[in-house]
Amino acid sequence: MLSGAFPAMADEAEISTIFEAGGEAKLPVIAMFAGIRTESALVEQLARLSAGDRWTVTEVFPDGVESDDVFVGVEWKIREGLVSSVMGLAPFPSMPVTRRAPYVCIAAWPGEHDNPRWTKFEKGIVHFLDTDLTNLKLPEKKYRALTKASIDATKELLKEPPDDARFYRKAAFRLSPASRKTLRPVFDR
Amino acid sequence: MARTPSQKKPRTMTIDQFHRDRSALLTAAKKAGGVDVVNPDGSVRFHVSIPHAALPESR
Repeated sequence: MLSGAFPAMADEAEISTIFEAGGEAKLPVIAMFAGIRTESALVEQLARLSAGDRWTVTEVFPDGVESDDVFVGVEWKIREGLVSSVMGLAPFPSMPVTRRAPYVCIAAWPGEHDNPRWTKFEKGIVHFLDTDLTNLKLPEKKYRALTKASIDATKELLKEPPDDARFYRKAAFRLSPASRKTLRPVFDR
Repeated sequence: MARTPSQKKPRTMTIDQFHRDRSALLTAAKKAGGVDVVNPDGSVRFHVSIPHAALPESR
């Protein structure tokens, strides 16, 4: 994994360069923002990202969610016709337990549909499931066991209070309703 | 960020090099300690690395 650690805010071009480098090296990428401690600071960082042509920040509405929380989708344009769905992590109580972390982070697979074992992909979008795992030389049995262990652990973590991993397939961040107003100009770009 | 004595001092590259030469970026990031990307005044803007981690054991 290619990791970028930022003590403060980052320009969108800096994150894009790290993502491009990850794509070239066939490595997943993660950008960690040690200086972002509040939802409002995260919204400011999302606004910086959305200022770039390759970034899209939108409000998403997952089926079955009964909450006033705001679900934020983030996509990065890899090339014409292909975007990467960005995963977010953050230390905020509104985030699902599987996406809580000591620091705000964004992470993504910046390559193509490079996992031959993942065949149910959407043509125009890549997720972590599309990651090229060739270098790990995983036998089929080990791949299946790791996938099952990951799904089981996720279900267990999201059991109480009841939550569902499906809500976060296109949502990088789940933020409190108070952030909706400041996010509006970001969504409208 | 503070480093323990056993940690390698990271290499440095300028923000211009970072954007211009991705091959050099990846080479430096792969080295132990990674690479600090620095502002024109020499202050660290951010740090890039390729940490090595083992696969978890499946249960």
